[in-house]
Amino acid sequence: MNLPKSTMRRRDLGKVGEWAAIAMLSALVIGAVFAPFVAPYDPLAQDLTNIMQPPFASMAHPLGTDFLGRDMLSRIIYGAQPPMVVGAFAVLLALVIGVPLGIMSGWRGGWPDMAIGRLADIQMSIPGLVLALLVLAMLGKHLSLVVLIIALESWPLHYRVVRAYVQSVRGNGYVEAASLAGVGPVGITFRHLLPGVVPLLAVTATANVATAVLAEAALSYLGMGVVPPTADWGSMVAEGQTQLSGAWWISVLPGFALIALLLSVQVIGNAISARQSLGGRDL
Amino acid sequence: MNKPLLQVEGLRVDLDTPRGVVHAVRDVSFSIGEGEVLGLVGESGCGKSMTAMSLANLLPPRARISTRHFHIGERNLSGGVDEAVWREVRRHDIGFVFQNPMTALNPRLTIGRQVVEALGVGAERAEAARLLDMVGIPHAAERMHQYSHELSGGLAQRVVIALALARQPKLLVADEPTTALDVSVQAQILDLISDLRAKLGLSMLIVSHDLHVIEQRTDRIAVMYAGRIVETGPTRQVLAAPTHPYTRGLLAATPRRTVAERVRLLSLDGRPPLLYEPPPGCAFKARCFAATETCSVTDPDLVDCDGRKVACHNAEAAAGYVRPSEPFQPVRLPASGSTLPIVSAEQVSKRFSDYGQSALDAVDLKVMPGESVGIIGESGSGKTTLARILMGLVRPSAGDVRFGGKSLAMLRRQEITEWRRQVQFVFQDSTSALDPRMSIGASIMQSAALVERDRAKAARMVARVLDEVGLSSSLAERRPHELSGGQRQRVGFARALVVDPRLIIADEPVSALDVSVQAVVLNLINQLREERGLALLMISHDLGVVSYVCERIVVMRHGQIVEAGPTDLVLENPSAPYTRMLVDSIPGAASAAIAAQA
Repeated sequence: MNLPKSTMRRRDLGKVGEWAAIAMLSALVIGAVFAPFVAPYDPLAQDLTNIMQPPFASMAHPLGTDFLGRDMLSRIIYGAQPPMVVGAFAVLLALVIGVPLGIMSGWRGGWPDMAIGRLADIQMSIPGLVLALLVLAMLGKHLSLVVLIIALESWPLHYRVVRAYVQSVRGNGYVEAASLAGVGPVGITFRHLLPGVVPLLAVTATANVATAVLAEAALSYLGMGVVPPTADWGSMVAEGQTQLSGAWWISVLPGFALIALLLSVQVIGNAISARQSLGGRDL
Repeated sequence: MNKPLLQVEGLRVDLDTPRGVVHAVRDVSFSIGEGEVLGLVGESGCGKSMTAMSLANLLPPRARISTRHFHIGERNLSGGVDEAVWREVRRHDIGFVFQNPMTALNPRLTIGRQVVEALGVGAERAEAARLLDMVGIPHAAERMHQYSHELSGGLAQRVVIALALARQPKLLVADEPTTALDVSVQAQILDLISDLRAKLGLSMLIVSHDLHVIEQRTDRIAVMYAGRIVETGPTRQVLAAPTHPYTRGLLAATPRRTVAERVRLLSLDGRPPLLYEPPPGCAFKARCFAATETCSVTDPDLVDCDGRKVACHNAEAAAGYVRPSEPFQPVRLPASGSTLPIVSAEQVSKRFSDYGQSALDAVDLKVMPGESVGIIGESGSGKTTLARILMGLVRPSAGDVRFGGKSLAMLRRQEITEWRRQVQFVFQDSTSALDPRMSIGASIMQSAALVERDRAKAARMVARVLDEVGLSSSLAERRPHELSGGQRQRVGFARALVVDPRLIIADEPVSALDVSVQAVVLNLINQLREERGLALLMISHDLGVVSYVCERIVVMRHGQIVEAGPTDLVLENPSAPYTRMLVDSIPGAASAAIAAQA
């Protein structure tokens, strides 16, 4: 079929964007996972003779050094670990809570739906960052606590989306036909409900990754998440902010890394969603 | 002929879509005289609505309209004109009546406000009341305060008509004005439209897929196919002796509404071509019985032929055609000797809430092996609820459903499986009945798992039933959206058949289909009953459809059965006043005499 040129170009542009996002995310993830092999220096090693070197000034420190002479590149590579751990595990946990509850709520309706729905409302009404600050201040600054709090904060998002979808397809002929053919609730869930939920979850999960990573960065920035000297993008931004006029790169470079991570996750999420959905024929 | 009020020449509508340009309307020319009614017919996707909507540029923004010549009254709209001019056209020249009155009215405004708004600045409420009175709304002045959801479908459509007439247009365009309404209301709305036409001297364009409506209510007809008019002329003449093979196909596929006229339906298989790049030659050739080599080379022009215009190379040869007249009876299987019904409902009632009306009220129904029963009723009569209760999809509030003489509650596990196998369901909406993410083969396979655990054997069963319903087994890999509506509904039957049932319960299995495809499915149902000795319980609002496949008919109203008996007896000699009213209000009923002349 002959496609008009404008749509061809648009689609190709989208493809290029997707591949760029995949390349970017893989680079960031591989860097974080294999940090000891990839990073040129120990992120904590100070070199007080070489402090606040600007980026691209010498081959020894391509992204410069901070006010203690620590290599910026190494710190950015190591600093990716906490946000990624939090982003991945908090969202996984939120999905594990939200999706089954959403399916049950949408399928059964009635009082379980009411009860879970109210619970989600309550959860949504509590400001997450304040709760997180409180819990971390009382129980100590553990990364696992950060994961747990962010997950508890974000499960209603997935719950609501899944519940609405299940509610709308529950009465469809194909679901009834499956139950008439003797397929049980578990079979119907895996065969007919979950495949349709995937494109929706691709969107909510990636949006959730973004909020989780940002929340982790915010907590670290406030000094309640990852504490210095451990490398972390959020705390690096905080460390550098007093030097913004003299050595902007200490704050700005980890900020850029954060943006790159969030953007690439979003683009990939949208691509998965577009690929898995049926273009308006979903319900 | 009178001076034409509307004259359109060389109308083209092109739509920009992500997949390319769709040539939805291709060089269409027609005119409507003062006080004349033109009917536009064709299958869905043939461009009839596009043509109607383009008269006031009511098309989506991605549509491009062009004409060689376009006049409404004194107004010249040839070539391109400004949006301001189109607004004038909509305001003064053309009134529109849409298919679904509930979406055509704003649910948040009282109908009074909407009519006053339509009348224009400075209009009085008394004027609005007069207008509502004119379209036959009782106690119009009081109803002005009501909202659209407080009105029945028929009353709401009257309001829509009032809105269309508010600025005293010269032309009324009605796009499927009765399709969304119950049969008894359809006749009233059509009568109203005819009345108004006589009273106000309106010209009208009626778009409909229903040949009976067109036959009764229009002076001239234009048959559209693949974005072109293929035949046009005086309605009675064209429908009595259609010339174009497509017109004939449509007629031969439309069930007659009366028992006396019932003939075997001829299927018009296939579907209209996609109009990205119209195929060379005649667009209808792939479905045409009279196609010759010329047809694939040049697209025939619309030329005069025997008092009408026809676009067909073989019109001359085909002119001596008469309507198919092979009389037809629904399949009647020899009595099985068994007196035990497959399923039965005994004094079944259903209330969906503790207060309010009951959806079903003490209904008795039996389906014997091999018999075909039709349930007729308007929306809200409880026919679908009854079917769903028989399937076990809905629990009755009171009464008993029996399978093989045994109450469902008493069935053992194995008997429940047997009930699930022997009684199968076919859904109304073939789109939502199939999982859009599963291949149709997998969907059928899921049903087959009820009787066959072995995947290889089950796959062979799937191929066999696909073949039986007339689909190539290569379609098994396809997803539902890659199939046409008729093909999907056949998949629905294949899914039911794969477990070798004794009874199929079908809820409006053809109401969402075009007549051409409807005939294919109805003939398939009859063929399956004959070959497999299947019993059938079919729900429909269409008497013609029911009388074509059902030996016995049950008429329901307000959750009760008002009449039951052999189809022909009930339809020719209805005893309940409600059945009488249903039979009389069939749009085609009055035209029986016309058809008999043919």
